[in-house]
Amino acid sequence: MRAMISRREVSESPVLYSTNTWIAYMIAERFYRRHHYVWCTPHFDPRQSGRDSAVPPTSSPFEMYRALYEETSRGERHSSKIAENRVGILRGANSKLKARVITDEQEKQIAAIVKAAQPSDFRPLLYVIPAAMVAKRLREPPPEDKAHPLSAEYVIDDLPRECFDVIEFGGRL
Amino acid sequence: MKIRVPSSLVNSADSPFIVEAVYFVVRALRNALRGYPKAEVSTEPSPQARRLAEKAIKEIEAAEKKSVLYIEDHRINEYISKLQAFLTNRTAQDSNALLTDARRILRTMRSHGT
Repeated sequence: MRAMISRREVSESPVLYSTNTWIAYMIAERFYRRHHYVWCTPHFDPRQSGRDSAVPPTSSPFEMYRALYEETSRGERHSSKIAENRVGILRGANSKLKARVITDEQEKQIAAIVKAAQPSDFRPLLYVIPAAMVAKRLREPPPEDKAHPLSAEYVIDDLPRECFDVIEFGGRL
Repeated sequence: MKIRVPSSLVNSADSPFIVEAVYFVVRALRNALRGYPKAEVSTEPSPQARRLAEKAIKEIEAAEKKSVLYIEDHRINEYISKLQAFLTNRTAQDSNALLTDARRILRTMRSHGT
């Protein structure tokens, strides 16, 4: 379902934020022609947005960055956030294989990279996306996938690298 | 009680829908962990993957004797870790050549940063 954000909404939310892992970023850069799959929201930290945001704190880019940073800095081998990300990357590779973006051999290579990756490779990166540049690429996730029925959450299946900036600020939040 | 990967997934390890199914089971579990009001399997996957994922969630609920919404966080985390290990072992072949190549690619990536 395409969201088709209106001009008014774009002007009210000039920037979209998304937290991803370094390894997911690098795999997209190397294997997916620099096209990235992202979930994003106009609210970096909903606690600062008051009633404007229905995104629960646990799903905010801020909280996801903070939690991932903590788990990866501790080098937790059994972190469920890292496990989730490994599964997400494997699913992404499988989708790209089905879409013929990568070969069977490349899918195996990505699986081996995911297996060999260390906890620190899953450290968080923040994507800052100018909303006006991606308005036509946004789609709304199905309601059961949203943190809250009214939360402003969007998916971009194919976000070109030139449409966003990447920030890594470690634990300085 | 020991946590196990649902047998519906283990028995379908060779299915072309297994990666998608495991991903959506993990996503439903993660949504429960984040306190979403519902923790249903998404309508996004293919019907075959969705059926498989829903079967797996029902198996987890039967084993735990409660809805995924009420399973303790540490057990949900354990299910996610088990499912990830299951999927990684299924997709990443035990080939020394592949793993050596993967480590080389990782070193190159790390030296390039972002």
